[in-house]
Amino acid sequence: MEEETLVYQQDEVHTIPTSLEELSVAGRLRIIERRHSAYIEWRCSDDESNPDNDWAVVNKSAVTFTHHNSSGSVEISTPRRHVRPISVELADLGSYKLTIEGSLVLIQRDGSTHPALQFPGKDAEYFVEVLSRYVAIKRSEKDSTLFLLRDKKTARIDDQLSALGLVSHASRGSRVRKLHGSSSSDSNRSRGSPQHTSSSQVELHSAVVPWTTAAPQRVMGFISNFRRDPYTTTLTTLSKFYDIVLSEDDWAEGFVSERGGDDLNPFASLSGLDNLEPGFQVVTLKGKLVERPRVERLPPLTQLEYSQHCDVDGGVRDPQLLKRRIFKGGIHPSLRSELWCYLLGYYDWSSSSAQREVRRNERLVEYQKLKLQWSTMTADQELRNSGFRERKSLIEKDVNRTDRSHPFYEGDDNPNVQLLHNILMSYVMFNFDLGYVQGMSDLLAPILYVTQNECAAFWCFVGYIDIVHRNFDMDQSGMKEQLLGLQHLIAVIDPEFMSYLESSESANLYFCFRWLLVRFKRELSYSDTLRLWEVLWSQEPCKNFHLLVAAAILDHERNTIMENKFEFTEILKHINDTSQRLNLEELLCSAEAIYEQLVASSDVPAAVLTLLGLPLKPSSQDGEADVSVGELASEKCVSTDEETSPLESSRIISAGPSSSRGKKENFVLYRRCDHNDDDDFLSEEDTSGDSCGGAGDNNASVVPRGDTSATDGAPRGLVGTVTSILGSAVRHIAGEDASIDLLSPISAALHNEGLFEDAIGQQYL
Amino acid sequence: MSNHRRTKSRGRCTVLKVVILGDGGVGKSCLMNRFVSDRFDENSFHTIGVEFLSKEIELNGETYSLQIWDTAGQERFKSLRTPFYRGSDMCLLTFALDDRQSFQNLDTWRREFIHYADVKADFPFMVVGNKLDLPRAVTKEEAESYCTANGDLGYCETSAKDATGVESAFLACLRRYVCTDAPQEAVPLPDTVQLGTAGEPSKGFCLSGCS
Repeated sequence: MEEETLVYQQDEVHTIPTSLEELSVAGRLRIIERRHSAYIEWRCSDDESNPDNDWAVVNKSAVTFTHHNSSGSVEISTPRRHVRPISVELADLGSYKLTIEGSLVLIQRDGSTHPALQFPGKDAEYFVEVLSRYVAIKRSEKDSTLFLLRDKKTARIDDQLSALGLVSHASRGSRVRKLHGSSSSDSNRSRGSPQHTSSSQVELHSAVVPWTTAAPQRVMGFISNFRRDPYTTTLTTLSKFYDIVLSEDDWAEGFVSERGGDDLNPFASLSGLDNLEPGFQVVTLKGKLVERPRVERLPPLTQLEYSQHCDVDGGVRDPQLLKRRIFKGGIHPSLRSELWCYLLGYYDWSSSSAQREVRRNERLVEYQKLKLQWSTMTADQELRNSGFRERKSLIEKDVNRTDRSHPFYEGDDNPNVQLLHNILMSYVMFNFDLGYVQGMSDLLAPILYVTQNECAAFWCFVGYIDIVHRNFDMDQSGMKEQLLGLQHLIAVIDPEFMSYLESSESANLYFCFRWLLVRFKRELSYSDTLRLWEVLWSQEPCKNFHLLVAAAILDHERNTIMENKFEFTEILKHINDTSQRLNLEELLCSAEAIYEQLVASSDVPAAVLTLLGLPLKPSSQDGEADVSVGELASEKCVSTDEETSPLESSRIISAGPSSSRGKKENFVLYRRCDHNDDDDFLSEEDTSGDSCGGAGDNNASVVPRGDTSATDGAPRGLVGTVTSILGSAVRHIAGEDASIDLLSPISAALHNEGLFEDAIGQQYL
Repeated sequence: MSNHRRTKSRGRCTVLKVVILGDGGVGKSCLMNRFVSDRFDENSFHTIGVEFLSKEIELNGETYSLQIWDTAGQERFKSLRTPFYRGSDMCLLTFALDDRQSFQNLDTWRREFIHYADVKADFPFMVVGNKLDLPRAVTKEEAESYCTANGDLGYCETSAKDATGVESAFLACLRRYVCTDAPQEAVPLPDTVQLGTAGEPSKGFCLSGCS
């Protein structure tokens, strides 16, 4: 037995259910010293007696309720829940969220995020006191519930340095991070260096950044451009880091104030430069967003209320009004099976009861034909039909791992799993080209659960796939477009966060992929998934509302991500870990509030208005923005469904004074003009590398450009490099020192070639 | 992936990136979960997008943190999957012993990986035949002869369900990595040299073919 010292213990610390289906589980929270390290541990109380059992299965208070349908009743019991114990070494704990209600979420440095725990009596004071014996705790300035942890020793040095005014942010030194936190020697080096931390980071990174073959070419490209037109080249390059500069708040203030007066926006001088730098346009957005309004939601639509929407024949009088109502509150579970048939196009809104009866019968015949087509396929036929075989095999594999912990689908030989299979196979016959793509079974399972009818579920599923079919494009272009649309949204509603994502190689928003592919099904509890989907199907209040929901989740996580200085890997981990921990009603309020905010704001970029299907406002159509509007609108012909919108293949480099969201002044979007159909989904073209005349190998190779490790943690360090380039350029332009060695900053950059590659904006995973 | 860097973490362990590949349904996620959390979920989902888990493991007195990346296996999602190959230190090529097709597709996976990860053929691959608990459709001899014929890949058989061979599969792969990587250890300042780079595969100069 290892030697342990118990330093803190609290019983009755509960997990916090995020949905009605979940039960709260009591456990014991402890802080333990073991092998010179301290650990925070939480373990389910029932588990204490059996320490070998790593997982608690909670089913003792399973509730049984019954769903009625025409074919009888289906027994539904509350899903059993596995509660995983928590064990975190304090050195791995980067931050925690603690609300005044006493709910605690532990967030590790690698992005791992643990389930919320509730302290009894809402009192976590003693826990925090014990914790503070081991680590320095600092409350986030942006989020009062977020607490950032630092090693006590380094925290002391930070504080001393910041007291001396040498380092503006105590935490900045710890910017240099590795997968599991920074090593002490690294931290000391960066902190030990006076002046700008950023320059010391450049130095520091040179030790760990590998040689990249592409970098010298890029640098040489930059040099040749620089000789040709130093002013443009410098400002263009600098502009790409403006976001980075700005996120170093107080440094940026100094920088900006030097420019003085109304000329605060260095991009003012960039107007018209887009022609000089092929591949880029500069879109200046002059407006600012209004404050985000407060939004209330309604309770779900009930039978009584619904009946008031219907006329005597059973048709819906004003579908738009009803859909608006569904958007605001969702549908009561007892009404779902009927109303989903309308929302997914199986029934017409105006149809009478009699007409619907006819429709059902027609559709049943049609479905049975489809079903016969695959069910009568002989083994011999199958042998000669590899396309069919592949689809069938994948469906068989996937239905057996779709929602199998949900009572409706659990257990061996569950007939509902067979129904999933039948419907998906019939869909293959209905649309053989699309066939079956992973994710479809996730979209079908809730529909079958709600409709409880194979034929209705099939036709509702057809309706759903009509809406989201571009999620399953062979080349994934539909997914790419949505991620780009989300980029546009974030860049407008939260430019500071977008800048952060850019600087941490995460602007591709890849971590949102799963959200979008199966419309948040893997992130939400079953009941929340049903609620969200009906809200989305209402097609209110605008197109692509699901992207606003995604933006709302990111809005909720932005402080945690930025203050923990998470980069791509950690963000992916953190976002994956938010699964099943989202509060849907809150998110829907935020998403709607963002919508209202955009509608009420002037000068919202056309790309975003188009994305949401909102009318283009006159103000967004003049000036430079106009150029991109025209292109955006005509660039890509999209299918007629409301889920897609024309989005150019672009990356956005946004920049803006990083004041509070919705209050920003000006910001700038760059977008790449040429469409890139690279095989590689995630590699965004090294646009700025091209613009600097570098050797961007667009499409030339399927191998992504550059090595991902080259740029890890580097961006902040570039500020120094870019500043010195700018400094030289300005002096050169001013003619103050004609003999100035223009190459010196560049040779410095060459020395840090990995950084420079990042500096010129290479963006990939 | 972009943050991948072979590095010492608090002087404690080397972080290594492991990619698990193979057809849909061969048990990639289950292997990962069995190895990392020692559990097997009968009701597990098929993977959408990309996930990863980390686990520390000891070999020859040194601790390594394996960062295990698990992706969706369907061809459709290839463009999403492949960017994550870069910077890998090891690769588990997985098939299901009860699924002949998944065995026949191994080579497609191997080639896809080598291409997108931009590595040499002597990369530490481990071929894993999973679902040992089910009736076989692929014999051990066949699998081994595939491995021999393709540059002497490592081979082992596992059952994520009953935990057979899972830890030793990862360990065996790590051993191959350590061996392949060994020549670099002699170079001064290994940290500066070992980092994965764009042009050069991280272990490209292990030409001796040690395995």
